[in-house]
Amino acid sequence: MEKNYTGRDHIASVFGGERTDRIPVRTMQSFIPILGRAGVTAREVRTQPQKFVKAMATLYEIVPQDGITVLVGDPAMFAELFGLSYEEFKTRGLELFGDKLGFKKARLPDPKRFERLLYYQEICHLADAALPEATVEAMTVSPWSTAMVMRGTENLIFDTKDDPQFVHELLRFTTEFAKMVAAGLAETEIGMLTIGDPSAGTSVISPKMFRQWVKPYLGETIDYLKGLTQKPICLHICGYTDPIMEDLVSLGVDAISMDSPASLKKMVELSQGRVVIEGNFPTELYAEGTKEQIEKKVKECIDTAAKPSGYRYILCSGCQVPDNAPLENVKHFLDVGRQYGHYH
Amino acid sequence: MDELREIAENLVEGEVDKVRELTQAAIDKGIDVGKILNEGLTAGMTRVGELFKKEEIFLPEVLFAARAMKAGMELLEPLLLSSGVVTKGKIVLGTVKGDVHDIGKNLVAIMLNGAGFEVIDLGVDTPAERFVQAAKEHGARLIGMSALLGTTMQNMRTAIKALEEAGLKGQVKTMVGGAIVTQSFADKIGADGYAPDAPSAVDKAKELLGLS
Repeated sequence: MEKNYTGRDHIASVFGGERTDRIPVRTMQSFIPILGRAGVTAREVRTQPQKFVKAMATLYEIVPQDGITVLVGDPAMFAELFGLSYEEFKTRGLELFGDKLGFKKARLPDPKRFERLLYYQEICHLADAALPEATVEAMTVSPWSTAMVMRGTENLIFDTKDDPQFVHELLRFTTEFAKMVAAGLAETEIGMLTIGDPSAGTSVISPKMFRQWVKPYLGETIDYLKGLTQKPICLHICGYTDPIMEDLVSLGVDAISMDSPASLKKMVELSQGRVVIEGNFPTELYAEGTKEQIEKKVKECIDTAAKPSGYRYILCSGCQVPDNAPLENVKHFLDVGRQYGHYH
Repeated sequence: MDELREIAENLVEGEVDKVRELTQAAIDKGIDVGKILNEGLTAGMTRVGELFKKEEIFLPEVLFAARAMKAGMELLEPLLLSSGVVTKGKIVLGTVKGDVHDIGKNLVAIMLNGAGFEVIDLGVDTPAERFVQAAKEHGARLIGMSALLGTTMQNMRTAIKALEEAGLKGQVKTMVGGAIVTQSFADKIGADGYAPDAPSAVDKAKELLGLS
């Protein structure tokens, strides 16, 4: 008799759980485009965990998939670090971020009283109950990309040459912050914790810069989390990452989520099954692609990564699905993935 | 000429203070400003483009070099204007409406400037009509648009349509770029050209304007 596996079963299987009958399939997708259908407003999802989860559940109803993401991190979090209200931060945020001395005003809160962390923890808890068949993934902040948001991409890159001492101080702060937030999320019922490091790839920085500035602090964060939790830890970096693939694998994460500019084939060959690979369907195809193009690319991803990686592969969007993507395209991606991704 | 080669080498290394110092020294020595530009600054930036395409350097090194280029240009520009050096043409640049990402666009601006174009930088969050208005106002030959998001890249289509409605399609070329933009998207929206990165944008601009 055929067993009905859930999304949680499919994702758990690639991390060493019981083998199911197909590869896991999911997207990284915002629920912003379906707020109206969910009957919630942007302000409500920003302030009420139940409304946030209602939006997640509505998205899941429209495009059911094996995993669903809670994207952690927003201006309200930074506001709290500077002891400001959200509204105050909206007016003063850029000024604070532009001023090197302004960072001295930021303080790491007590995690038990960090309101924004408590908010996201509540969301993870509610999502686990509301979506029992899907793996709830929390995508959390990273040291480097947080520093980039705070300082500005160009400014931080110039700082690495002009004021390296400052960069170390800033990264020390953002590392402690990243560790605190991730540890708080790991305490919840989530099925996977992903560190999102969008600005750490070689579309933005050089391999040399990655090794000097990103890897030490990211490595420290990952080691800390591995000492705290058994949950799978994934790393997502946007853009092109081919020159640093071995560095990424050597960080010791359980999974690497790849964007479409990176070579899936290269990662499969290089990693030799040492890590679960997730990705790397091109996001522009959700918005601009035909059904035939979507189908062709899904098959190409699966052929490249599923069996060659020893089935340590999750078919996923390379990055966030564009908000203007027709949901029929997302559904088609998921349907083809589930069908073509059946184990033979 | 050794002084100009030294300018180029220091520019490639991103040594902004050295480039500024050497450019001033070349000016003080009475070296022709067009030569300082072409054989010093532009030569350095061309080398940067070559290294970038071969993946020997990446975006940060290009940024450091561009910063050094800008420092040199600040000294040369007043002298170029007064000596009647004619630019290769005017190019309007901007990040499209709804988008505030500008690193790529800023790099393209500096590199086009160094390649001898006059750049009118409209900044970020630029509505379609503003591109068209600026092209008319400045007599620009090319509009370059940048976008980083799937949602905002659609505004490139809007701008090209606005250009058509203003009767300028064909007279003013369009070029698009940005992390999420592809050649296929550029073809779909009727853009004249697409460039995947800043060094390529200079080559493409020259090609579109018949200067390569």
